[in-house]
Amino acid sequence: MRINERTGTRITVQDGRADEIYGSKVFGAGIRVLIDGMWGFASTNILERDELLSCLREAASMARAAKARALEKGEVAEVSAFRGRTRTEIQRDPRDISVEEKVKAVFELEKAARTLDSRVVNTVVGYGESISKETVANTYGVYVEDETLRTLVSSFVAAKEGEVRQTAMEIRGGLKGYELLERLEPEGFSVQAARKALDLLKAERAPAGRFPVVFSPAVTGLFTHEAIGHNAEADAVWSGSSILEGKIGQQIAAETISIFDDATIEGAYGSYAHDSEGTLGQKKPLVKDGVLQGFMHSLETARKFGATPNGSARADGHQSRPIVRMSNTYIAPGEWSFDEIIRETREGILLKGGYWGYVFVERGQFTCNAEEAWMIKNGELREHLRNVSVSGLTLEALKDVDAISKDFELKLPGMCGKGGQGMYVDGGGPYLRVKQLVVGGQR
Amino acid sequence: MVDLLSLAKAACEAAVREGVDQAEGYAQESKRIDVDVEKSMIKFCNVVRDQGLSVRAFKDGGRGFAYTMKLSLEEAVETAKRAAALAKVAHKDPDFRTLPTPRLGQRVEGLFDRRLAELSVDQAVEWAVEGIDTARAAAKEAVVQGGSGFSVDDAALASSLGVEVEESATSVGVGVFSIIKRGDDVGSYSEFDSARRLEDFQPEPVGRIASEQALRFLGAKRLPTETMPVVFGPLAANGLLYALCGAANAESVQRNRSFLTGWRGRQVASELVTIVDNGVYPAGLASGRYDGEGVPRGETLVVDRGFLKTYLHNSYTANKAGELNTGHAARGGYRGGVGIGPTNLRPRLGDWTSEEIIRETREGLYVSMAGLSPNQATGDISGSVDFGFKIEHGEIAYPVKNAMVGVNIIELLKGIDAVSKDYREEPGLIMPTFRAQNVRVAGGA
Repeated sequence: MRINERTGTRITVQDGRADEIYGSKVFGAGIRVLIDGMWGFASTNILERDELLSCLREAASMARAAKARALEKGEVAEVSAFRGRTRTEIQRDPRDISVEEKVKAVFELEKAARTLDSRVVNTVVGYGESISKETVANTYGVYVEDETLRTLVSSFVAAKEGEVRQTAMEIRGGLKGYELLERLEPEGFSVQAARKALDLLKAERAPAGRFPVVFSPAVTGLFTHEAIGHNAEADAVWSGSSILEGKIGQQIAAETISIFDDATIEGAYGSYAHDSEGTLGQKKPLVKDGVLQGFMHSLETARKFGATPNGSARADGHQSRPIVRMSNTYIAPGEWSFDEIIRETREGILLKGGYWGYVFVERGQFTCNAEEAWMIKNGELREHLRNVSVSGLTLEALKDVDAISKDFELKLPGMCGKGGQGMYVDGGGPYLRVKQLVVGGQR
Repeated sequence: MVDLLSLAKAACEAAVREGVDQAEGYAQESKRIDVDVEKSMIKFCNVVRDQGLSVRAFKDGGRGFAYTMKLSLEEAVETAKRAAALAKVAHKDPDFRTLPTPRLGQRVEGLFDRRLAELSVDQAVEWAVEGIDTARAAAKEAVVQGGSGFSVDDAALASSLGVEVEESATSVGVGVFSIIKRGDDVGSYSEFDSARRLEDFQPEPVGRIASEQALRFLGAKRLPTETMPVVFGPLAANGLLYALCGAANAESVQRNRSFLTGWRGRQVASELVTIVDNGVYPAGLASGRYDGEGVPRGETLVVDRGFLKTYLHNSYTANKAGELNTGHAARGGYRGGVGIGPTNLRPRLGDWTSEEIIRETREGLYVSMAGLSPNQATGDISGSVDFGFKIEHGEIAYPVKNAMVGVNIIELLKGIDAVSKDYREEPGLIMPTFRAQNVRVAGGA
C-alpha cells in the first residue's frame, strides 16, 4: 500500500507577465494485492479508514476477477522487514519563500531574454516546485516514508526574422530547493536560450541520409535512455518485448562503453531514496566494457529473473501501480577530447540539445530529436543546422560507437512516459561518435 | 452522491468573496477500470476512482489556479481561497476581458452509455482475453501486450458569470500490440478500437489485425535516401491533419510561436484538402455539448480547399483578437488548466480508392504510422517511419526499417495530389489515405 501526498507550485512568466500561478495538492492511496498469482490494484483519494478498507476489497475483487487467467503466476522477491525514513536535503525550503519573491526571480530571468534582441518574439520562463511524500508499506514488513523535493526551471524563447521563426530551450532541474532558482544567472540560462534561438534563425536545413553522428552530453543522455534504458527495464525483457532478452553476459556494445542507471546521484532530477515498493534506490551497472550486465528490477521481475531487487519500481502517484523505470541513465566518460572527436571526423553531424525521443523496444528502433546541429567537414564544425532527428537500430548503434570523450554532464532533466505514467528522470554522459546513423533532414 | 454543480458554484462564490473579479469552478468524479495484458496473459486488473475540484480565479486579468482531490464544501471554499490568493499575486493582464457568458449548446447524442457505465471488470477481462486469443489465432507465435478498459466520468462547470454545465461521459477501448519474432527478425504492430458507447465498439477484429500486420512487417529492409511520393495511410494522415490543426491554436499564434502565425487566409495545403472540426458529432470520441469553458461546441471549417480559414479559440484568445470564439477550450480534467485543442477532424474525401492511390504510385513509400509531429515554430518534420512499406511497380513490395521523413508540413500538405474515398472510421473521426509528392525520405541503405 502506498499513500502519496504532493503539493506543488508552478509560476509562468510569459512576455513580461506572470499571467498564471498554479497551486496543486494531490493525495490518496493505492493498494496492490496478489491473490493466487493475479494482481489487483485500486486507488482512492479519500484517506479514511472505511474508504481504505473498501479500496482494499476492490483491489482484491480485481485480482479475483482474472485469477483463473494467471497462466504464469505473479510473484515477488522476498525482502526483509525494513523501516526507512528520508527527506531530500536542500539548502532553502521553497515553502519558506513567498510566491511574490518567486515571481520576482522568475520575472528577472524572463526579462533578460525578452529584452536581448528585437527579434525575440515570445519568452516563457517556468518555475515548478514539487514536494512529494510517499509512504510505502507491504506485507513483508517494509515501511518507508520519503519526502522528496524537486525543482525545475525552464526557459523557452521564440525568435523571428522575416518569415523564419525558431525556438530554443534551457532546462535546469534537480532534487534541490529554492537555491536552484536563486542561483540561476540569466546569462547562462534564459539569455543562452535566446541566443540559441537567434542563432538558429540563420541555420540551414539538415541533409538527409546516413552520416557519422557526434552526440553532445544531452543527446548522449537521450540516446542512452531510449536505445538502451527502455530495453533494460526487466518488465519489457520478461514480457518478450526487449531486444536484450537472453543477452546477459554478451557483448552488445563497443568495448569502450559502460552504461549505468543511478538513482543515488546527489541532487540529480531522477534520483530518489527508495522506489515505490520501498526498495533502496541504487546504482545499477547495465553495460560494462560493452557486455550486458543486468536489468532494472521491481520485486516481481527480480524474482522472475532470480536477481536481487535493485529499486527500480516507480509509480507516478497513488493512482498508478509501480512499474520498472529508469532514474539517471548515462554512459561513462572515455578517453577522447571533444576537439579530437571533431578533428578526426571527415564528414558528419554534431547534434546538441536533446528534445525528445522514443523507441520500439521489440525492434530496437530508436529516434532522438536534437535542438540544433552542425555539419562537420574535414575535422571542423561548419554550417549550423536546424532542429533534426536521427534514427538507428540499438544493437548496431551501440557497436558503432567509435569515440567517447572525457567530458561528463547530466543534461536531460525531465519526464519519461511509459504505460501512461510520467516519471522524473535525467540522463547524460560524454560526447560520443556513432559511425553511422540515419539523419532525417530535408535536403 | 456529491452534487458536483453545487460544489463548483460554491467555489466560484467563495473566490468572488475573496475579492477576485471573476471565477470558475470545475468538479469531477470518475471511475476507470482497466485490464493490462503482458506476455499474452492478463497481468493486472485495476480500478481507479478519482475526484477533485479546481478553481480558476481572475484579478485584473491575472490568473490563479488551484485544485483539491477532496470533494466537500469546506475544501471547495479553501481551494477557492488559494486560487484567489494566487490571482492577486499574478500580474495584471489587459488582454483578459472576461470569461464566457452562459449560452445554450445543442444536445449531442451518444456521449453517455448507461449499459457501459454498469459493466464490471469481468467484461474488460473478456475483451482482453479475446484480444490475446484472436492475435494468437492469427499467428500462434505472437507475443501479445496491451489491454482493455472503460471509464465513466461526471463533471460540472460553473462560473461567476452564470455558466452552469453538467456532463456525463463514458468511454471504452481495447488495444493489442502483437510481436512476432523469427530469429533476429521482428515484426510488430499495434491495433486498437475505442468508442463512447457499446454499440460503436468493435473489439473483435483488433487482435487478428494486430498479428496480421505484425506478420507483414517481418523481413524489413533499409531504403536508399531519395525524394519520392509518400502515401500516408489513415492513421499517419490523421496525425498530420491533427498536427496542422493543433498549430492553428490561437494562443500559440498570438504568442508568435506557431508556424501558422500569419497564415490565415493563405494556402497551407493542396486544394484537395478540406478539414472540418466537428465537436458535436454524435458519439464522437472528442465530442461534447460544451467546450472546457462552457461555450457551446460546433462545426468549424478549419481548412477549405487548401486555405486556412480560422484559428481555434478559447475565450481568452477570442476576446484578445476580437473574434468569434470557436469553442475549442480544452480542459485536462480538474488537475489541468485550460488550453486549446482540435476535436473530431473530418477531412473531405477524395475520388480515389486507397488501392488506386498505391497502384498509381509507381515508386514510393507507404506509411502506416510514423512520428510526424512537426516543430511547432517551423513546421519542420524530422521523424521516423515506424511502420511503412516500399511501393514498387504500383504494389506494396516490402516493409522498411530505419527510414525517416524530412519535410516541412506545409510543403508536404501542398504536395498532396490524391485523397481516398475509403477511410478508417473511429467514432466522430474519418481518416482517409492521401499521397504527397516530393517527400525527402532518408534511409540507411
